[in-house]
Amino acid sequence: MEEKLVQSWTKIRHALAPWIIFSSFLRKIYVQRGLIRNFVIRDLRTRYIGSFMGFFWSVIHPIVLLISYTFVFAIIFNQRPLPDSGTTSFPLFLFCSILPWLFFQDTLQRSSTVVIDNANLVTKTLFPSEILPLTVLLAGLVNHLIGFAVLLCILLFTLGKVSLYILLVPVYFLVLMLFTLGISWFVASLNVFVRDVSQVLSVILTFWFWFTPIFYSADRFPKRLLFLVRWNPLAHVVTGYRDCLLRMQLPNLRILLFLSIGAFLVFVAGGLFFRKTKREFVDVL
Amino acid sequence: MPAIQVAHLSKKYRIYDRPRDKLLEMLGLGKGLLHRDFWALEDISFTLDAGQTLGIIGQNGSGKSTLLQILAGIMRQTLGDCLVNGKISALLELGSGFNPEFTGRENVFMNGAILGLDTQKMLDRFDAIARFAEIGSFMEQPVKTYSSGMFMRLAFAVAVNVDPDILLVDEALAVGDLIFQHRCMHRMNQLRSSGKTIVFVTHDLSAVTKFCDRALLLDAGQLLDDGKPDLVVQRYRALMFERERNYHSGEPLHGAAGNADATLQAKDVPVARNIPNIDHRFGSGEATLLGVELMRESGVPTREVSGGEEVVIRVSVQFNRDIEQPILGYTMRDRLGVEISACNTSYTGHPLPAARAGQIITSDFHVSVPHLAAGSYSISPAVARGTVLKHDMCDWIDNALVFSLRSNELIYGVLRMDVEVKSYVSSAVTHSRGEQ
Repeated sequence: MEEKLVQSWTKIRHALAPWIIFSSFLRKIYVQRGLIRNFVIRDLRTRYIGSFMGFFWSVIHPIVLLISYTFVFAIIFNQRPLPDSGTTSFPLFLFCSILPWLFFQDTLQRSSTVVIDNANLVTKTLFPSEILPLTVLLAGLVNHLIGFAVLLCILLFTLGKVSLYILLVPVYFLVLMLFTLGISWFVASLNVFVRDVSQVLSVILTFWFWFTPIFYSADRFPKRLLFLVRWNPLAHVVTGYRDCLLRMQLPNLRILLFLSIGAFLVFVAGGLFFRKTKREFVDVL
Repeated sequence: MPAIQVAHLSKKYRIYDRPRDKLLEMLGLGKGLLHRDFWALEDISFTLDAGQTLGIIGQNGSGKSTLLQILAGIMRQTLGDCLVNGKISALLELGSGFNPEFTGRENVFMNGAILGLDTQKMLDRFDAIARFAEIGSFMEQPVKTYSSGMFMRLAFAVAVNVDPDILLVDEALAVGDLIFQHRCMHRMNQLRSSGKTIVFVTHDLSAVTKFCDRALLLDAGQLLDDGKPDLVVQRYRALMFERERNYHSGEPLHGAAGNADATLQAKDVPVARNIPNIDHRFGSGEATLLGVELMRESGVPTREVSGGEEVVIRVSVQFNRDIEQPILGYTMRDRLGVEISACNTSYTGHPLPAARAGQIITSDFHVSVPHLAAGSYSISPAVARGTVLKHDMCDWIDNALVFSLRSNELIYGVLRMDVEVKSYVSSAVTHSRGEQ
């Protein structure tokens, strides 16, 4: 009886071990919040310092994308959003969908080289390298918020109202952040060892972009390829954004729950992977 | 409590032919045979008490920087233990994390954050840092507009002002102009006297003897020597000399034979057969130093001289084989190991003739003792084969003879020079305005 208890206790401890490690990992990151803030500010300022238009570039880039895609899809191919999309305006449909994607893509792409870019910090100072992908993410967050504010203004102007479901958008965004950070930790670490990772990543991201229902509704996906949407977290995030903001209806909460669990697992796995591999960085960099 | 305790520390690098092998192996996918081992440090053990200053010397690639990185906690050792008590500030590379686009002030705060100081603490220290760096209004300019000296100064200023318990410095002192170097030394001395522990890696051997309480000599990852700085430095010099000799050993030794005195006077001067002290001895063994003596002109041995006195340094050597161009000489050092002066038979223009095996040669160097600061000095005799510029050491004894130098007058600095002073008053008289 007693033996059994001990056994099950050991089992529980084993099951908890990664979580204990991970929570101490998170605590260490929290301790570094001052440094993180410094880094985010530096990151934002480096991007715009010395440039004439400064911060406006973070708005101009998405707008240029928006205009180009609208030209191709709405004007050349004469695409309209499906009737139940909540809007007939293709640019609005696109803007709403592409916003979370751009955040995901920019963060990943910049994270993949962020450790190498800061190699001298990692090798020459006692530096918590795990904060690097996080600072990239937070800098991206600022851009995302600006984009989101612009989107809100447009929504208010064109539709004249927003639904209460908008309160779910931060939930989706939080899920997206966890997922993105988890993968960022993976690619940031991998790219230290194999420099091709950032190249492979941009190839994958290109596919991922077109296979995510950004320009179109998931309903247009052929049946036998529907699994591509079902197992694509970004598809659910994008759809969630549109449900809350354009269709103004309650998103599928069951999917949101699964999405949250999945994103959280990716977040933990990425953190643990980074934590385990970072001790080798100095030897390789 | 010791500040640093290192026990059986070893660091193995795995050398991979391809970077991806490293990753495969780490994930347990490789067969474990994807690398070759390279031991950068092997079985290093030492304990450093709080408040001590330790110098680490050694050739490039001897493992000095790796050791420092492990002490700083940046890198993990493969085997052994490394315990550090206290807050560490590591200065492994000046200006790590400096961003050229930002102003000096912004970089100071950023650097402080990297070194673990929050904004408030940095605000308290900012003035001290600015004063130390002395870059004036450039503090508000982007760092990219700095000269390299200014950059170094600012980086050093931040690092030494974070108030660590233990300061690790890698080759950082040899930067900046002379005034700044002095200030760095001064600051290091301040840190030292305030009880901080300092570890520094350098190639500046005189800084080690002057500045450290202790020194480590690393060679190819091994701890070769651990002890008093001057002794360790001697060991290192000897090692370097040996290496250099082996490197040149293939080349024939030749050079201007010069106007060698065809024969030496055969004279029965007493052969010096006394070697009071041997700190370290090295050489090929082709000749053996029999003794060294310091005497007054009268021939009476002495260990106490004073400035201006005429003395004789006698060095006797027995040759174990025929040597074409022998050189006899000595070098004189102060108590910190700084070389004051050196002299040898070839240098003085009286090169020795060829020596035969079995022969004993004695050279007397008649010296007028300079007016040096009082203290103890040492003489290291040597015999070599070749020319002044290019020779093989046959026998060298470090600090064979120690003597003290008295001084009856006050001497500022290292020595008193013979100076003749003439002063004049100008014939043209200038009036101040008030008198008009």
